[in-house]
Amino acid sequence: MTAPATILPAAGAALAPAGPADPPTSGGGTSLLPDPAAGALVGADPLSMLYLFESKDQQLGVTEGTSQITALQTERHQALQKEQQAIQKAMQAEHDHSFWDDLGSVCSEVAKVAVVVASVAVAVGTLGAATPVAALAIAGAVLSTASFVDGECHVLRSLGVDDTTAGWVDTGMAIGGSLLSMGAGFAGGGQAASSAIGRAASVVAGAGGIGSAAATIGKGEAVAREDQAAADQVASQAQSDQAARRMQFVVDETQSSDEQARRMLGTIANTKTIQDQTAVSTAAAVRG
Amino acid sequence: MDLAQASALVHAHRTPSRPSAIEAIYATAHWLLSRERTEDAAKVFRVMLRVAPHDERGWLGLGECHERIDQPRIAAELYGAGSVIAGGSRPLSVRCLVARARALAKVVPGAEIEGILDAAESAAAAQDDEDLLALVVDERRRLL
Repeated sequence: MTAPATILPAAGAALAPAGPADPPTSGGGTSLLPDPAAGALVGADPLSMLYLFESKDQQLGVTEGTSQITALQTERHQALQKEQQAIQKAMQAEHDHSFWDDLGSVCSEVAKVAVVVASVAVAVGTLGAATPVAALAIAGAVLSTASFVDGECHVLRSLGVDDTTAGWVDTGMAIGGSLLSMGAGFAGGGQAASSAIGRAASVVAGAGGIGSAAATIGKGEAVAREDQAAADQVASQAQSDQAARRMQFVVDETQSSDEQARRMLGTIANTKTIQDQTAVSTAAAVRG
Repeated sequence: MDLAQASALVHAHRTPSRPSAIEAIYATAHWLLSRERTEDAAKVFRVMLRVAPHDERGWLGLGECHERIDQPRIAAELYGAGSVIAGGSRPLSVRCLVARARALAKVVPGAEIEGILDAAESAAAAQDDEDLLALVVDERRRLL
């Protein structure tokens, strides 16, 4: 690694007629901050210009800027949620892959159901968490898997669950999966989605209760898998938390500027007042 | 005469337009930074980001402020956000990506930095900007 050069360019002569023209940089390398536009402040008082802009353009400029960045934050937030969902689904897919590959007997199918039922309980339990969209996506994915498993293998029936109940569970899980996926698609949106999710959660909760017998039967084989799933969940949550913290910082940096801007107006006004008072005092002293 | 009246008087002949006001804000922030008034510069850069979030100079400047008080990770996050938000019509802001690589070079091994520079190079190539390409190539030589 070679020695870095200065990172900032010379300040505009109009603003900085004296003093250091090249701000020292902390990062090194050639400057990434371009020079201010020539004459940006020629013939202008930067303090009054700032104040004028802040006060006169409050509605047009600042509000627009705030709404812009809020919209951008929303876009970024949604992108982050999608990224989290992709991570969760990838980890779930990885887990399912190794799990399904190991299955080979009816007894293992019992374990499969046990894990799925346990996963459903976990997923439904997270619906009230702080990251509802990601949780919905996980729940939707898990429920879709559960419905697929039951429809394909009919393992509930093989466990002694009567056809009527098994069919109800199958249907309930399918409805739950589709509704929850729809809720995730709405990105935590409207009232309708919320109520649909609530109904789906109720249906799935019933399915989880009926399936608890299967979980008990298969728990010997399922424990290790559940441990792995829990570890994956912790790792995934850590990733989500980290991403959330990163985004939160940027949001804080920008949103807190409302308060900072108000303070800045006060600072500008105070500075200008001091300047004016100094000028008056000087004039008075000159006049004697 | 209060400040609002004084401002109106000073600018009576020409109320500053939005672009000129943004340039004035940037020039002020840049000047403050050149005087080592980091905290004041950061405040002005934040105002600039609120008014013009698509302007990469605001992100670069605020990140620079954080780097100067030994907060390279925070700076890197700002550069990361800026690389996307300030890209505007372009896919990514190359300068923000380069700045992010510089900031991260202080705290993490080279693998992630190389990836960021790869992205910066691709973005510069997509924009067909020789200056930006040269900047990335020079940065790669310096950091890796």
